[in-house]
Amino acid sequence: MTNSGLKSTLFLAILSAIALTAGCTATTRTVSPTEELHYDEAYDFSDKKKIVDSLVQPLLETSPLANAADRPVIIIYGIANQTAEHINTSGISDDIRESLIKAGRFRFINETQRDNIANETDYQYNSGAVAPETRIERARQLGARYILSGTLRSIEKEEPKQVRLTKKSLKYYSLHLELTDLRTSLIEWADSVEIAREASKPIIGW
Amino acid sequence: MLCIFFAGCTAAPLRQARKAFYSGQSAEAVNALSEAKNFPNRDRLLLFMEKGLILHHLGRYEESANTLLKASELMEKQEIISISQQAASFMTNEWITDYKGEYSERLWVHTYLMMNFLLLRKYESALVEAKQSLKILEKHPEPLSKDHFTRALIALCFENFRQYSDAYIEYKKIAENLPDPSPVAPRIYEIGMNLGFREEAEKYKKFIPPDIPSILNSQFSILNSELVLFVSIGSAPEKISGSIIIPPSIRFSFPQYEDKIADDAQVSLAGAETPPFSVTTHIGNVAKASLQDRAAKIIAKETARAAMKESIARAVEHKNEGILSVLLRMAFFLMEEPDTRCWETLPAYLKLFRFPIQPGKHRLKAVIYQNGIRKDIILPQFSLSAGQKYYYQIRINSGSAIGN
Repeated sequence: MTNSGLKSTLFLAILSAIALTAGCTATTRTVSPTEELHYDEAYDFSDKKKIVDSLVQPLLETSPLANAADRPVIIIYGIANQTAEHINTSGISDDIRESLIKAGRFRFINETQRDNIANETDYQYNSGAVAPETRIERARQLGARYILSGTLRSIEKEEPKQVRLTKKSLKYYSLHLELTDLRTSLIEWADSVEIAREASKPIIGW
Repeated sequence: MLCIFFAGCTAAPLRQARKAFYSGQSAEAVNALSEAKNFPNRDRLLLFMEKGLILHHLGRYEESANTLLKASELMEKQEIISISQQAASFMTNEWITDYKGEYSERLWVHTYLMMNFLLLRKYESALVEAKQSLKILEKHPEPLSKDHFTRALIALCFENFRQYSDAYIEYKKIAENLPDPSPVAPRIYEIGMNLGFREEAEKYKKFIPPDIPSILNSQFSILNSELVLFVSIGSAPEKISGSIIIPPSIRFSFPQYEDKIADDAQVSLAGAETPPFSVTTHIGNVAKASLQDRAAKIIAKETARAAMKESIARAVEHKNEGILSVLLRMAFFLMEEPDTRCWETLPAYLKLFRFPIQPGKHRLKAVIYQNGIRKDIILPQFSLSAGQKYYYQIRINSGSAIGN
C-alpha cells in the first residue's frame, strides 16, 4: 500500500469510528406536552391530553350543567382502569378537574384530602396549640350534588402467527365519563372518547 | 473458548439465593440477589423471577410486585429475536442466549403479580395482571390448560369487580380441564343461576359435593365474606440434561424436567364448618407440558446445530488436520450442553382455598397436615365487613410452614 493510500484508509477508519461513537452518544431534547408523540401503540401522555380535551369541552358546552348559574359542587370518584395495562388513571381525573376548575363554572370537593382535613380540624380543636379565634368553623363543608366517574377500557389484538419480519398489533382505548345526580341517582350526562392505534414491531434484531 | 464453557453455568448469586431460600434463609437469599454485581444479562429474567418469588414469601409484596413487573417488562422486550445470540448459539449452545422462560414461567410471573396485588388490596392492578395472564393463556392454551390455580385467581379478580360473566367463563374453562368438575361446580351453578344461564347451570348441579348443600338454597353466596388462602407446597422439579450420542462424536442434548414426586399437604381451617372452594395446580405437570410444546423447535435447532458442527469437523478433517479435527470434535461434544435454566424456587403445588366466613373480627388458625405431621399457623387478627375478603399466603417446605 502506498503512503497516501495508507493515510486515506486511516482517515476513513477514524471518520467511521467518530460516526459510530456519535451514533452511540446519549441525547436528550425537550418535548412540548402539546406535541403528539407515540413510540408504540400503548397509552401515553399524548393520549391523556386528547382524552381530557375531548371530554371537558362537551361537559362545559352540552351537559345539563353547561348553563348552571350556581356553580354546582362535584365530587370525582376516580376513573376505573379496566385495561390490561397498569395505567395511572388519577392523572386523567386530575386533569379533567383542573380544566373544569379553570373554566370557573364548577366547584369540587377535595375527596383525597378528607382524612387530612379531619386531622387538621381535630388538631385545631384538640391540641390546645391553636388560638381559638383562628380555628375553622366545623360542619361548614359543602355536600356534593354530582358525582363524576368514569371507566377506561382497552381491547388489544395481535396479528396471528405467520412467517414475517414484523408483528402488527392494534390497540383500542375508550374512556367513558358520566355525571350522576346524587339526589336522584340519575345519570345526567355521559360521553366517551375513543383512540385506536396500530403499531408494527420488528421480530428480529441484533 | 473458556467463555463459551463458562456460559453453561447458572450465575453464582442465583445458586446462592436458591440454596439460602430452601434452607429457610429467605432474607439472605434476597440479599444475595440484591447485592449481585455484574450479573449476566442473559439470566436477568431468572434474577427477577427468583427475587420476586422470595420477596413474596417474605411478605414484602410491594417489592415483590415491583421486581416481577420488571420481569414482565423484560419478557415483552425479549419478544425480539436476537440474530447475534442465535448465530452464536448455533456454534455453541443455548446458554449463550437470554433466558426467556417457559410459557408456564411467563404465565406465573403474572400469577404471582396477581397474588401480590390482592394481598396489597390493589384490586384494580390485580385485574390488570389477570388480563395479562389471559393473554398468555390464549396464546398457549394446550400446555397451560392444567393451570387451574391461575384460572381460579383470574376468576377471583373478575368477581372482585362483580364482572361475574367473565368469572363464569373462567370457572367453566377450569371445569372443562378437570377430570371431575366438582371443585368448581358450586361456583358455576351459583353464578350461572344468577346470570340467568339456568339450563347450563343445572348441568353442574349434580357435581356439587353433598357436603355443601347450602349453596342450593342460600342467597348469592359469592357476595359473602371470605378468607382467601394461597398455599405453596414443596419445590418444583428442576430441568436436567438429556443426551443422545451418535458415534463417533455427535451429541444431541435437550433439557427435560426431572421426575419428582413432591409431598402434598392438606390444609383446613380450625373450626370451619363449610368446606372451602379449592383448586390445585401441579406446577411440574404444567412446566413439563410447556417444555413439551417447544420440543419440535428445540429438536429442529439441535439438529441444525449438530449438522453445522459435523460439517465444520469434516471440513477440517478433509484438510488432513488430524489432531485439530479431533480437538474440534471434542470441543463441540463438550459444548453441547442443554439449557437447563429454570425458575427453581417455584413450589410443587399452588393451591387456592376460599373459606366463607362471617363478617366481624377473626383470629383464625390454619391446620396443615403433611406426611402425618400437623403444623398450625395462627393468622393475624383481621376484621371483615359483609362481602369483604381477607388474603393470606402460606409456603410449606419440608418441615416448615410460614405464613404472611
